[in-house]
Amino acid sequence: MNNKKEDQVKKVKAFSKLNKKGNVVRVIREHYLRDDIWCKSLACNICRHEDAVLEAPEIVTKMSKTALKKQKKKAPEMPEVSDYIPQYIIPSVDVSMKYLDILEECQKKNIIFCETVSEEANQTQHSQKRKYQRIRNLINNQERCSILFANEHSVETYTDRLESESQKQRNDRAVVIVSEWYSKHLNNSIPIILLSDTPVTVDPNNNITVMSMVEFVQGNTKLMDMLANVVDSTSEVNLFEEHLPLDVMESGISKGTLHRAKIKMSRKEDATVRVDGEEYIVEPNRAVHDDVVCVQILPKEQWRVPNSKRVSTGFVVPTAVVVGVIQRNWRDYVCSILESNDSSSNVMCVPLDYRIPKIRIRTNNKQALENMRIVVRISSWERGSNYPTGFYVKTIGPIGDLNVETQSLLLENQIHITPFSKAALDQLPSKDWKPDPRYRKDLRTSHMVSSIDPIGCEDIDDALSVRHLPNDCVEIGVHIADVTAFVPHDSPLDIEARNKSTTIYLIDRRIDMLPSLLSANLCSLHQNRDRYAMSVIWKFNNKHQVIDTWFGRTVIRNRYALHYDQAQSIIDGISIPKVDPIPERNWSEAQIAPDDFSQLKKNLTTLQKLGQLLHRARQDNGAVDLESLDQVTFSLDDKKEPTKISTKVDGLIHHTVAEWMIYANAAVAKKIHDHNQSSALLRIHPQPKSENFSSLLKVASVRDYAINVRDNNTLAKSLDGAVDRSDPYVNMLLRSLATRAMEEAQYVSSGSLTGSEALRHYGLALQHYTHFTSPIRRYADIIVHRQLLNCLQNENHASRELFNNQQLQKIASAINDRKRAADRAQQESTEWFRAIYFRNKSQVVDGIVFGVKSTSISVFLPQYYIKGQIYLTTREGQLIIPIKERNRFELPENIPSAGVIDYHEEKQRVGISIKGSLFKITVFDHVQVQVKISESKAHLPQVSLELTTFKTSTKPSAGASGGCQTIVFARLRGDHKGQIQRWTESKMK
Amino acid sequence: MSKIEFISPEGLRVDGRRPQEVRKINYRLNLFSRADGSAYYEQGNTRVLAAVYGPRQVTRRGASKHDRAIINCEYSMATFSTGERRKSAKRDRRSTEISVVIRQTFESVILTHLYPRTQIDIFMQVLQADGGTRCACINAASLALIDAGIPMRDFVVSCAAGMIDGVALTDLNYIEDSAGGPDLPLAILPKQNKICLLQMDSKLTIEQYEEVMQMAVEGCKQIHAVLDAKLKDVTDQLVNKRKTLL
Repeated sequence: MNNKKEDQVKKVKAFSKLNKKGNVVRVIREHYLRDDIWCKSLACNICRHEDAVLEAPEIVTKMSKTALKKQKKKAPEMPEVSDYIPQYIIPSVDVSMKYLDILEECQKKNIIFCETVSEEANQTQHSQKRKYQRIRNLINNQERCSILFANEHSVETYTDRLESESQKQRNDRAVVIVSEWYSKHLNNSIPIILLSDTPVTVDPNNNITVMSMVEFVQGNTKLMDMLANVVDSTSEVNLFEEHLPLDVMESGISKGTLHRAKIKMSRKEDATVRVDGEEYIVEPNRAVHDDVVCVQILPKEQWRVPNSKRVSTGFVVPTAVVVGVIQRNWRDYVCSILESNDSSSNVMCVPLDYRIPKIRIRTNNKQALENMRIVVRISSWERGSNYPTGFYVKTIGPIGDLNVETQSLLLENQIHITPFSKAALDQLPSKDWKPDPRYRKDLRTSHMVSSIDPIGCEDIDDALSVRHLPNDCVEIGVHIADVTAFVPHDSPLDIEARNKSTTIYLIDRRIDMLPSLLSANLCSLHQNRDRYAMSVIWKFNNKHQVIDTWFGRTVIRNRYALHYDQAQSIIDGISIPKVDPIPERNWSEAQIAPDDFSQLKKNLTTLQKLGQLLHRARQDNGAVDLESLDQVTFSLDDKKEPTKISTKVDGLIHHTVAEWMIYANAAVAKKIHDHNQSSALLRIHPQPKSENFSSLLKVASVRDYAINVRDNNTLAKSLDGAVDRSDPYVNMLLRSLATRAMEEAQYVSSGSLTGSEALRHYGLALQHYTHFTSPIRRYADIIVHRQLLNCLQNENHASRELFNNQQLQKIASAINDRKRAADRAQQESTEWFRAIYFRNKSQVVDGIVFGVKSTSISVFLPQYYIKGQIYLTTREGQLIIPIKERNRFELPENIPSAGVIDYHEEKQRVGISIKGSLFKITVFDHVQVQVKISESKAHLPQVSLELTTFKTSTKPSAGASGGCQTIVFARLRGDHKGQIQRWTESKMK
Repeated sequence: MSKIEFISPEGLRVDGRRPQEVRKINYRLNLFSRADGSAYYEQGNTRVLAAVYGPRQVTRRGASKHDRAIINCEYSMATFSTGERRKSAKRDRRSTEISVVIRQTFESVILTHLYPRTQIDIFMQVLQADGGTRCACINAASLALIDAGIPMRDFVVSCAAGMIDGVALTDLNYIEDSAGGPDLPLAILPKQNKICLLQMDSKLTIEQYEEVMQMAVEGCKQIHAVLDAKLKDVTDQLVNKRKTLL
């Protein structure tokens, strides 16, 4: 803490700058030079740094030559161990800006970035800003052993701009000075490589080599390809308008003439942007989906008709034009190569995602890449090119292979699966770990704990216990696997789990957040094993009110690991049904000792009764029970092909377990929030905006149902009343539309929102809610466990929380993003398997219309829980005539047919007239749908739906293969084990 | 539109200081012949001028106190002190507030009972403002009072500290001040470890407050060491001059 005035020299930085308002101001800043900027090299013994990063040479062979020969004779299989002399790479400013991709990809270590370079990267050019972040990421990656050397502030390497040189030349000279300093400082012991494309003269006495990029990438074909792509392409024809420079855009935005927005591309419709709540269509002008663009809204006279609606409505819609790109949000894209006959090295790749344009890359081995899924990155999009230019990163594998397609869709959702690092695995305890009951409440013999899970569940994270006390009191315990006992805060294992944030359940595989030793063994509450747990224990009096709540760490023994059907049968008193054991998991049902049977029955019945009371209490408060109607399970054969799609049937028992989990989550949420208002991790569900409900209200009004969306209570009650006795699907679909209107539930740090209503959970009608019951598969639960422990250990005074509000909010946002990506990946995996199922089994099933638009209808197929859109017209506006009508009216296949569509929005109905016959399709009508697969090489196969006839009926057809067996109501929570809870409400044959 | 990195991962601030380091300080005493004591004080790019008149006859008869001196303080910023010319609002809110605050500081330190029925005027003018002006003014006023030979209980030193992005920083300059984080100017009597002035903007939690307060105290001590060292030289010179005159 010395104020070293003699060594510190003070300089003054003076320059002119454009400030936010668009005015030119003169900026005078102090600039201190220091003598404590260390070189951070392990090979240096002069500097007093504590955390050296750059590698030192390893002289391994200290033995003499004869000794070496002896050793070789003794053990000839041992590989030659040679000295390792690292090279320090110092890229110049130009190289860092232009070829940052190559530096990132080359996997070379010991890169020294000068502060001069990072200052350049920090300038406010739109794409440059991300460069600074990328440089930071490279430096933070410990395996790269790279540093940022603060040369601008070091008294030994700072240099003023000379009269004769420009700022740019001065920067280049500053980098040369750094390389010379390093070389001298390390006594020429380590070779320094200065990467620069412009010619540079260096003092030959030092161990410095100047390399151009071409020399640097020699020998590595992938890098050489990348280098070829960075070359600026010039073209004669300019197909697009020029982008405005950033400062003009910024001044336009602050004046209000221009606006910034995120561009959203669509598969079949125009690209749109959203400004101040209004949607405008735009021509992308080289913007790619998700880029932040700057738009100018056109005056009304210049508005045009959207491309997709050219035929039907013909009305103009608000239009804007993209004048520039503020920030590119390019990522890695999975693509495949269009087969082309020409042998040039330019190849067009088609991305998997429909919204991304084709990308042009240059490669020398086109043959190796055909019919493969590859990863491509965009590097630029010039005015003269119809398509962006990019470069090849890596190959995933052949198209159509299950593993390859799964990896592709994970990559598209930016989910990177890496095996657990050695540092993380080293932290795991041994397999023969035994629990230590000290400092924990021992419930192993005093409480009968049992768990209820789906069949074949390996990661059991919750268990329940019931004890009947005198005076009609009852003690209920919820015991959650204690993951925090094995994963210390900020350990390598913790950080890897944080990056993953959640376990991902794809149809054929599971990507674990924690290594399986923990998730499937030591943390999981297996039957008859002693395990650590975090418990919440409530005492209820005879009036079913809570008189005591206890939180704490315990050791438990899960006496019986039941599955859902088994538990319900025990409650109902009927004999336990035999369940086919699943061969690959060697799973068999828990055998219940006859003495325990009556106790177990009493306990489970109490759980169910009390659970129902809790549920009713929440319903009175306005809990909304919703539908999403999209959870199915697939039965797979040995080749992992889907052989059966089943829509699951759930019982009252699912409902019971879920209710207790909600109760535990709510109790923990209240506890941690009371203790720490500023940074408790909670889960919120904001009230949906009223415009979200527009499609629900439109559809409901057709049947004259009044849905009151003022708050959750009124919504729940009015949905309960919107029932059609002859068709139970009507209420289900209305609930499904209500589900679509819901806002996303998300994690939040309690200090980042103000107002007592902001932390509410709308759907569950709870003041405070969090996730506590699944730490094995959700990272947020691990944080909540730690916060609860902090609260218990420091009951009476505020202690330092592990994360402050800002840090926790960042983590919560990251978890929300990961969860969204995981959900999307899960959905896409489901779509893929569904499509594969229908590959050779195209069939006709019953469907119900739940939405009507001017050129399409939305249908729901109850047999397979498929929701899709059926287009009534082609893109050009031709009516698509189903096969039955084609046969009836004898219309030939390929000749455009005459037909008129009359769309009635209020009545949610389309009328179609062909050759004098009139057909009507209204919402809630039942239709006949042909389900088949639409194959595409470049994109993942999808299920496609077609009408077989325009004739509809108001009742589900009895004879068609689409007759459903059971109708189920599902509650949307998506929390309990990632599945939707259901209970059977009515059966229909 | 760049988000400025106030403290780099290497631990360097915008101008190259580490979080606990104070800016470079320089000062000169006895610039004006007319004032009884004067000091010109630089802390980084912040430059202030302080002039002390007194003890002298009270200008407003009604205000004189029979048992001690009254202290008048006037703080003002020159119109050219900030980047853009400001209207010389001598009586604007901020200046008045700072004047009052500094007056209260010195009232508790100067041995006013030694000069009844007189007044001591302290004028402070900010010539160049780059963050921490009131602290610089207090330091300058202290030096001017010493130059004027007015007895005080102790030297008053002042330093501001703040917190940006969770890191406590000493002696914020203008850029760091404008970041919107908390700002805590502190004035202490270093030998007696007593606080004369403590102000704070924005919000802090208790634990953060302790940290920032500690930083401010350390900053004051650093400044005191610098001022003291040079003062000794100045005093030596004065003593030597007297000797030769005698």
